[in-house]
Amino acid sequence: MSARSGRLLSAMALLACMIALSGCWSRKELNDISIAAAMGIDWKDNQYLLTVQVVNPGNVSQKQGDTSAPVVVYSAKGVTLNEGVRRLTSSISRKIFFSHIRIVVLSEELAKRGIARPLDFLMRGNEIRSDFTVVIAKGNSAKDVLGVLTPIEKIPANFIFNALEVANKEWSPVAAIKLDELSKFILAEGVSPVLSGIHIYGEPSKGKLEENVKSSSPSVRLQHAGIAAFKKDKLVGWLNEKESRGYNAITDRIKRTSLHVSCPDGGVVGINIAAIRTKMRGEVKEGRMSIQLQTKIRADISSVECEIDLTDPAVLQTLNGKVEAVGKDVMRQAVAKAKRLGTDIFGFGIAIHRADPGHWKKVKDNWDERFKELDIAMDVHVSITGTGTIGESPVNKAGDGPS
Amino acid sequence: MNEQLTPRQLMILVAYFIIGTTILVVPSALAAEAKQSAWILQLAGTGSGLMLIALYVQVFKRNANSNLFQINERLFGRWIGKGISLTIALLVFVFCAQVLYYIGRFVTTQIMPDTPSEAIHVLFIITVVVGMRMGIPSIARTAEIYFPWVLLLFIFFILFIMPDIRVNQLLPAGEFESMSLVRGALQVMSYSFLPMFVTFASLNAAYDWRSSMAKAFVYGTLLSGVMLTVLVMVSTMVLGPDNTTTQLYPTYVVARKINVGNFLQRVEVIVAFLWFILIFIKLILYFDVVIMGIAETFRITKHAKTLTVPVGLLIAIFSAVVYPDYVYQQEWDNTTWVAVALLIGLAYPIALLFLSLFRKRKAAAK
Amino acid sequence: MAAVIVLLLTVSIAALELPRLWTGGAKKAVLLYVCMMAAGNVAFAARSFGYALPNPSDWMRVGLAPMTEALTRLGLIAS
Repeated sequence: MSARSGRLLSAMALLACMIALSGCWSRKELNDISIAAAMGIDWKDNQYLLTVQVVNPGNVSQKQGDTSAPVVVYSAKGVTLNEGVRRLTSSISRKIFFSHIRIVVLSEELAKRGIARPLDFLMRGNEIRSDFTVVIAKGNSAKDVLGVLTPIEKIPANFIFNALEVANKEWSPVAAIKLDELSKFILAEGVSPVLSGIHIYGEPSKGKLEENVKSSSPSVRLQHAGIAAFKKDKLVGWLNEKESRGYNAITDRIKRTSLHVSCPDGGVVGINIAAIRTKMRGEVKEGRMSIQLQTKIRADISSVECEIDLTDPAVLQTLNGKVEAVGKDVMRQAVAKAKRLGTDIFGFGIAIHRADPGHWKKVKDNWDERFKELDIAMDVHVSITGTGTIGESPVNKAGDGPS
Repeated sequence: MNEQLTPRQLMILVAYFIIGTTILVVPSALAAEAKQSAWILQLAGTGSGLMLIALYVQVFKRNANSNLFQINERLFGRWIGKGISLTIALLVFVFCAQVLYYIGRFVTTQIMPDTPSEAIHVLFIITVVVGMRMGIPSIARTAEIYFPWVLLLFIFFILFIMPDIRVNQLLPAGEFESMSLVRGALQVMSYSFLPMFVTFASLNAAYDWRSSMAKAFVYGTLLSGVMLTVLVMVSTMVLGPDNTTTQLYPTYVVARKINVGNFLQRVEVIVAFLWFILIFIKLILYFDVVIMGIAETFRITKHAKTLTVPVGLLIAIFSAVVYPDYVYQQEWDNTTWVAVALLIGLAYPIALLFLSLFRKRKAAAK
Repeated sequence: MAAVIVLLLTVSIAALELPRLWTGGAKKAVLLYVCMMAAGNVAFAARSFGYALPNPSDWMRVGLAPMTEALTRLGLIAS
């Protein structure tokens, strides 16, 4: 190979590299795209109504915000979601960029019809990743939910996302489910998904206005609305606060929470759950299926509102027992609700599958019915390890019983 | 092109070749066969691969210092030998086009959907042509240079994805029928091991059998076997067995989930880069078979390098023809490919082995 | 249009490679080179004018059909 043709070939190769490395072909310049922070899907007139919440970079990036809103909400209809996206793009001047969405809001009506179809669009698109949370809009349309401006957090999508993450860790009647977990729940046999609910408190049309966030107590707010239970991909019911906490307890999703127990002589003691772990194990004995739940709770006292002697170990034992009772109660309520709705949202089926694959093969086709015969054995072990930073309570000194 | 390959280089080339396109295609297929036990199938495939390697090394050793095409002419006679060499060259030509197709498909599906895959094909083939003109020893050295980075990237990939691993997704283990095991192992063999014979046989002249070349094959297989099994396991543990079946490229989707402290995220292209290196080596090794096959058949080995550009052009053109669409690819890969691989990876080496033994006995009898 | 560009490219590369080969006595190599380049250009032109190229995968599929039949029946291939 001569030096000349060698050089020419190298030159060609380098040129090709240059063209490839500057990424000219599929390039999207930043000022040609709109970054969508959230997506909402409604079902209207037998079509999808697609809503996107698009970030307004001018407002968000400046230190002193200008007078425009931090996000803009656009909607468009389409028989398929992709059509909706293209129709949307025609009403905005830029192409919508979906890689940064934080939440997808589905309307309750859409959820009742089945979320598998919109889910396919979300899973198939390569721009849409799987790290966003999916929620159901309860009592409102997804479009309205995305329109509410939130205080402190400029981009409402971030607000919802963070609110769910924090609530999932600290308070617990919510379930921050991301897309990949959701697809796992739907695809797997032996479990059905759940999704958290969002609800608008106040007048939705007022929520879109800047005035809403200018007040210290906004009249329109977004609130958590319990957990929606699904049967495979169709919404069949809602879990109330107690049942939601039970669900989170059984599926080991809570990190911390708080509850109260009653004192023997009236009044309440506030308990702060510092750590809680649940292990689920399936068991099949002579054709009878059962689930063994083992919960370990570590708690401490957050407030004492009755006359009680915290230095007495017997008293702590009683409190342990009461916390245990509360724990078992919420878990039992959750299971009862699930059995009533006829859907195994806890993954008991998966536990049975792991325990006895042969037996599972026999029962899995009729699982929604068969799981109602499951015996749930709960073993809750509570240890209250701390009493906060003070020992004896001032309530004891303050005299007369509770108010 | 007659410099010797060191055992270390051979081990690295073997490892790259085995992982090559397998990593893109096989985890999903194995998960479809055995759900959460896919990793067991991968392990079985690697085990069978070791046995195949033993067979190949026997053929290589008995025909040391001649490459595949010279062996063909020696054992089958001049004209039949040339015929077989040319057939192999043409077969591997199709494989080259297929590998290009895989790369193009991967990039256009996951990374740049608006780019026509032909553009990717052209860029890759130019690299391959330039690399080939520099000769196999240079390629081997390149592979050697990349090796620590490949290992490092792999280890980081596994490390960063650890928080997302749920080991209980591997349960219940062992829930598959024995035919699934055979089929899964066969899939692994047909992608990783069966094509190895013709590929590494055409480099046979570059092996110095006095040193530990046989061990190089074994180590390469073991290393890549470990990496592949770990990858399949991780994919099952992170995505879950059902998602691994649904996704086209599960390992890439796993890489997408890397999120270290909300800071190190969206780094999946680095994993894609890893796959590119591996696939590039596989492609260029295949390319070498085609070029040397044609060169030996027509006795122009001294000027083999000139063939690179026209063959490269033809491969680039045919890469758009060989798999007209995705459905065709799935169908062909599951059926005809296995047959072809068994032919050139099992029947052919066995035939060569018998002929080598037969010739030796004839020569000894004289 | 694209076919013309490819033709120009191949001719220019050939112009760099071939003279040395021809005078160096590698006539067979030059012949092979020209044949394959011509085939490539013809194939590319055919494609850009819409003619479908023959697909070697099809030949293999047809040629190995009996073997794939046998493998499927053995259960080694799941279709």
